[in-house]
Amino acid sequence: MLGMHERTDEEVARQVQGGDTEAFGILVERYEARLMRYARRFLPESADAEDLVQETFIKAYENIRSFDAKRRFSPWIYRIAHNEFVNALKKYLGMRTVSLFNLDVFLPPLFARETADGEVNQKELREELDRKLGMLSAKYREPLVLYYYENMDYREIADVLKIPISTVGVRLSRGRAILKSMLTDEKGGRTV
Amino acid sequence: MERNVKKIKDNILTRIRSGRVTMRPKWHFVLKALLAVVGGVLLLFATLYLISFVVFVTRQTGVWFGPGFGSPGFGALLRALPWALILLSLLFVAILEVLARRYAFAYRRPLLYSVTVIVVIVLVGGGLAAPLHRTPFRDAREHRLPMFAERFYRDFGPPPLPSRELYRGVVTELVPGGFVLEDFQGATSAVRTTPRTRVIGEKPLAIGDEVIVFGMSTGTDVRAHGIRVLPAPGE
Repeated sequence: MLGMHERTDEEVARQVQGGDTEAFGILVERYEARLMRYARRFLPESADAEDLVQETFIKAYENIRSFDAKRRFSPWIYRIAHNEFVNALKKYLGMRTVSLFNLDVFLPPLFARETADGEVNQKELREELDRKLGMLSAKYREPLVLYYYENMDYREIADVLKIPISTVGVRLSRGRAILKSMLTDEKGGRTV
Repeated sequence: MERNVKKIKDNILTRIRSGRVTMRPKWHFVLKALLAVVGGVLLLFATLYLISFVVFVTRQTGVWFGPGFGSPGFGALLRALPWALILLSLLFVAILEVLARRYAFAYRRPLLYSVTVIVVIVLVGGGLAAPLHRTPFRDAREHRLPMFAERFYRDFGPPPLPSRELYRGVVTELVPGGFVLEDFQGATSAVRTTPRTRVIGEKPLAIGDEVIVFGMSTGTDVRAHGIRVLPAPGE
């Protein structure tokens, strides 16, 4: 029989749903670092990332019985985190995140969907992301964080952000293009 | 970092053990999902009802045929449409879209796809259901409906006479200079033609012909700018 720490997230979640509240501590251990990283990358420095991650776990516990254990746990808890972070941006920091109506959600992409990586130099991109992420708008910053730091695929990102899968690709491409133009500007017009 | 993890974990478990944080029961989520589904279905039926009503009224009163008389007829169509009901229908469609986007089959695809599907369903369904309003309209005329229903069919039915520009009915009598028209509700109008009245049809007007008249009421009769004879069923 598998020990608790060898069980999948979904199995542990099922255990919590059954009333084993201590098992929830395992999920906290597994996801705390990841959610803190997500919070620190996505939110401005002035935000209380620790408090928001704690609230995320509280909300996850309160609503754990809405989680379908046949699905993956990771996008579910990231969705809760996304909602907490976006609410914090709006409520406490007075920041706009994504406007209610976006053409890239309404319309299918006009051109063939490119993969998020294309011909990009991965190492260089990560370095640029580390430096310039805070300068991007939330609309492009969040998919980049989830893709490059949380290693989520398009479908998972679509489930976290509740946007079309095609829109995930579009926002990743545009976010990369903006970073690239920042890099070009920085190097005085010389492309790398 | 490890100390942080322990701190957050301890804070959360302490709140859980003390009862300050509790799990919502399963029935809470089941009920919520059920309400969303029932609400969505009711809203869909309400939208189908409104659209079918608009289609029925515009076809039966002749408003639908306005564009056949050129841009003045198109203007008459726009003025006669029940805009309050159309706007209400659009609001319902928007709410249906918001409800649909809770589910992966809707939000994983561009919004245009789900909006298109909803609009096609309500337009096709509304068109197919339009004839169902014939009986309630008749019952409203004969005061056999509850007051609110009778009021609804009366208020949103054919536009009131002074402002009406399009008329649909059957020719019941030919008189010098025009004819008598009886509409689907049994009301009659005296229609006056002039040398400038444009008649669209292959044969001269005859008793029993179903026609659309585009014209203005003068108080006592309708001065026809244009008349379109509808093909008989089966033609």
